[in-house]
Amino acid sequence: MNDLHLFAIYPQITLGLGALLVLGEGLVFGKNRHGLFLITTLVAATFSLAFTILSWKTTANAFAGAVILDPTVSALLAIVSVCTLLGALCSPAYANRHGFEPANYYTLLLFSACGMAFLVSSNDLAMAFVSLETLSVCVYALTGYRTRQDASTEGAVKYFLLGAFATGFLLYGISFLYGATGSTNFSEIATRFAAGNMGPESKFAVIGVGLLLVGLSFKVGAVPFHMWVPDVYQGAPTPITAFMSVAVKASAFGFLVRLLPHTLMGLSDSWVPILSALALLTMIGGNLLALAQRNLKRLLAYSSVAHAGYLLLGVASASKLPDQADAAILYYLLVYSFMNVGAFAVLLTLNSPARERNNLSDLAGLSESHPLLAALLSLFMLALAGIPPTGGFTAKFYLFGAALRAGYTTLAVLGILSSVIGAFYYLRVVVALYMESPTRPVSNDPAASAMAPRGLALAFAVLLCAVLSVELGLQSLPGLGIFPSYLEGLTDFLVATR
Amino acid sequence: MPVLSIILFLPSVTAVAILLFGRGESGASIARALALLGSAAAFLLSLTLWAGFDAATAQMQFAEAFRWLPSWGISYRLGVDGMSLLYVILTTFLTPIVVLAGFSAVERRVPLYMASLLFLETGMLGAFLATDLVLFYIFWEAMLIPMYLLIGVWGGERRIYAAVKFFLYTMAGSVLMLLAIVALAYLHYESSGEISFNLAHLLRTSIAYENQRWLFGAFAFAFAIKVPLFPLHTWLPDAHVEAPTGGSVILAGVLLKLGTYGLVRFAFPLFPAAAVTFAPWLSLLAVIGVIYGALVALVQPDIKKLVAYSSVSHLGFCVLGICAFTPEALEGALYQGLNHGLSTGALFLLVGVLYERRHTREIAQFGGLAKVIPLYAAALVAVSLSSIALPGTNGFVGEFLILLGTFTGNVPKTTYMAAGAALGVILGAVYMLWTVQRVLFGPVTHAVNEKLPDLTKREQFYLAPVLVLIFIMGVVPGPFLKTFKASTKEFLDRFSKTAVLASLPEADASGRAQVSQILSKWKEDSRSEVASADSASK
Repeated sequence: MNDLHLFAIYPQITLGLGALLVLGEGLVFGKNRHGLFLITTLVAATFSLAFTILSWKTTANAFAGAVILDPTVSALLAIVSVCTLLGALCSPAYANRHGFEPANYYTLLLFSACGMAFLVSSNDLAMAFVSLETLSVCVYALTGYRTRQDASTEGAVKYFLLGAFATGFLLYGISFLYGATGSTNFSEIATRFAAGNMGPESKFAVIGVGLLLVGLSFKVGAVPFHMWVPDVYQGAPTPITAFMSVAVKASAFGFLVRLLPHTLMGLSDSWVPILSALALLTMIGGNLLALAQRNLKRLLAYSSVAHAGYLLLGVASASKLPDQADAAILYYLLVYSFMNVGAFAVLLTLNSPARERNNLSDLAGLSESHPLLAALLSLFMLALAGIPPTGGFTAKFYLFGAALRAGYTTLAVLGILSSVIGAFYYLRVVVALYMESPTRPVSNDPAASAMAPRGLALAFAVLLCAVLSVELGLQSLPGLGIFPSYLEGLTDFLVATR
Repeated sequence: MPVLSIILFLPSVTAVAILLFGRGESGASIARALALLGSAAAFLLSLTLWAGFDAATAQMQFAEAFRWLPSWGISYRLGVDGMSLLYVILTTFLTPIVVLAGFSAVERRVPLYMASLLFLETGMLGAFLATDLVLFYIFWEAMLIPMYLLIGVWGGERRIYAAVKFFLYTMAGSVLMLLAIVALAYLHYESSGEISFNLAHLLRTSIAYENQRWLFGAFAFAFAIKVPLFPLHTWLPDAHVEAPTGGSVILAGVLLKLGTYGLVRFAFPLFPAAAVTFAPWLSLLAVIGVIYGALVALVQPDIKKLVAYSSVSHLGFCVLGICAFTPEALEGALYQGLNHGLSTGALFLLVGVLYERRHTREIAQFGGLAKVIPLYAAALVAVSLSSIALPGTNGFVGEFLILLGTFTGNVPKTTYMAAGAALGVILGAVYMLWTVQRVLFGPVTHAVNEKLPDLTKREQFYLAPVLVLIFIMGVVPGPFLKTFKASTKEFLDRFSKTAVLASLPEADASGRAQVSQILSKWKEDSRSEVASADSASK
């Protein structure tokens, strides 16, 4: 238990070293070696992914139990690494165009990834809190990176203030839990409550859990703590929006799953009802609020709220069926990463120095001028809506399957009905692409001439997302190789471990 | 040779080829040629299914299976039996016709149109052929996308509204079915320890009465929307009116049949006890639909809308036939599905022909066309007669069998249902004949109509097979009905009183009591005398 087990944190070390390397390179070679920084970032993320895969089925407890490595952590580490890769691939064209200082940009990106990696593998409340703050501070800064844009600054300030507020709740909750159990270690807290010996101090623990839930609801953007989401998503630079919409979500849900169903299973009577209510509100609220959006970044922001709702339903199910629901959540997070980043990446290819083309009306008639881009964006929208044969369908199938199996029939029915509302606004995008004529002739648009391909990196990101969104739906192709074999162990949610 | 897979994916492969090669100046002609070629090849291949089909068995034939997601028990599993054979052929038969009809009707974005049609064909065929529930669901849902594009891109003025309404209505029903599919698989797992979505395995599961009712409700809801059963039909007139001709033909000809097919393939056999509970209510809704559809059709000023409402009426007959649990009624329902595909498909084609010439579909804009375009008039009269079930046309055979089977059925109050539906037959004749009279006969009231060109060679070419089939199926229904026999018998065997009770688990005593009380109201099984009446009717 007290061994150091350094290998358990190789991915995290790689990401952190990468960030330091970019900083150093900036000092040595000057701040504008964009290509160098990008490659360093990609290499760091790739190595982190490689280390994750090398230790795929390893289980370890490192740093006196503060850090843990198990298949769930490995999967989350892989998702974080992949999101970092995709985020970096989406960045160069946009960063160039807006004159970002690249060295700091990539440093922050890698540091936030490092924080996420630590968060998903932390097995200790203090450890989790520090990692959560590391990632949050980096993401606040990245959100405000478009310093010349008011929206970006506004988003960053909102995010920071509300985030700091949520952090207060989180910390307060942690202190209650510590007070009730005398430990910050998840394993010890778990054994403390698993025995069923609920003393008077368990009341404090329940308060702590409630406060923690409030804090984490802010982080994942659950209704009614979702107010910051649309402004931040809209204000942040689009590559950062893409990155954080998937990576922050994945790491926060990783933490939530580790904390609630695994650590506080003994208290599940107190948090499951709250979580179910949150899930219901979030699924319905997110989908309803997205209906009125005309800006695609805001629309995807509310859609991410709705998806957080589905995932919360998964976490609630995990209280009854930990293994199956965990697997479904992980699978959902993976698929969501590809389809969501894909959608943002297509938007990025449409941007030009003159104007960001983020409104639905900008997309009108795109299928005639850019048939491939229109087809890809439609693919991502249909995947987000959960239409087969895309990965979005498979992910929903697993997740709602787990919820049904766990006995949350009403929630599952309401959730899946709310996803029909969701289909409406995803279809709005397809309507604009295929069924409306351009509001202004494309040739007269000064931006149109600049709508050339935005660099290899971005094109690669789009195609990667498209291929994987479909591949994860079909799954029969050998393709990925890593996840299916891993999933064999975990997604057998039907073959219950009774 | 995996002939089903080849038929299934040939259209999709063609569609991909069209999207890849149908570019530039000659893109439209390449797309048209490829689409015709691909869909015609699929039709010819599907005829070999009929040639090799063994009508004596209810087994799945030409079956294919391979493990797809083994840890989930999902497999890629196709097969064809008496219930699906002719529907598969109907699909492959109508698609080339629609492709041909689209040669002149569609001028904008031809490659995308043809590709959508062909993807749609794969979706429909997949839904008819799949014998794994998840695979079925994937095709069922994926089918929405091309149909959505067909309505939304090439439709009329309110096309976007209609397309989105179509999509959301269907999706709302089908997501609940998805949950029911998963729940069914769990129940199967709990009773057998085997995880599977294979229809043949799930059919062996005995499910408690309470669960049967919920699951049947979810399945029947999804299929009733597709049929569409009154009062879930409101998407249909919008979708039909706004869709381009090809879309309407496919929608009426095949898509609606998937609703009735789903009922007989999945909802009824999987949950027999719930089916006998709800069947009287379904037939009541069906009869209301028959009469309501006919009455609303009667007052439509727009021909296309009239045909759309007539579909509501005709599909009510099919559901009525399914809910009667007699061989005649069930065969009649299956047969009527084919008839409706042909006659309503042809009606939409003919409306499309008129629309291409005059760009209006208002009945008041026409009159006396029989003198100007005699060939067209002849075709319209023939198709209308089939639609109102004149003896000698296919429609007669289907409606007669349904009414006969419903009259002699065991379900309580079934004679009233049959009487109500018979009223619908009369109303059907009224609106159809009245329309034909207003459009074709009398003096030519509008000067523009005097110069209308008659059917072109191409139009004659694609209408002729439908017209010929209408009469063949009316005069010699034997070969067609023969294919249904074994499968309908297997279906009805699940609904004998003992079999229905056997579908409930031993432990479910209260469910058994409730079901046997419902069954006690049924008339004694008169299967033997019905069988003799059956042979006499042919």
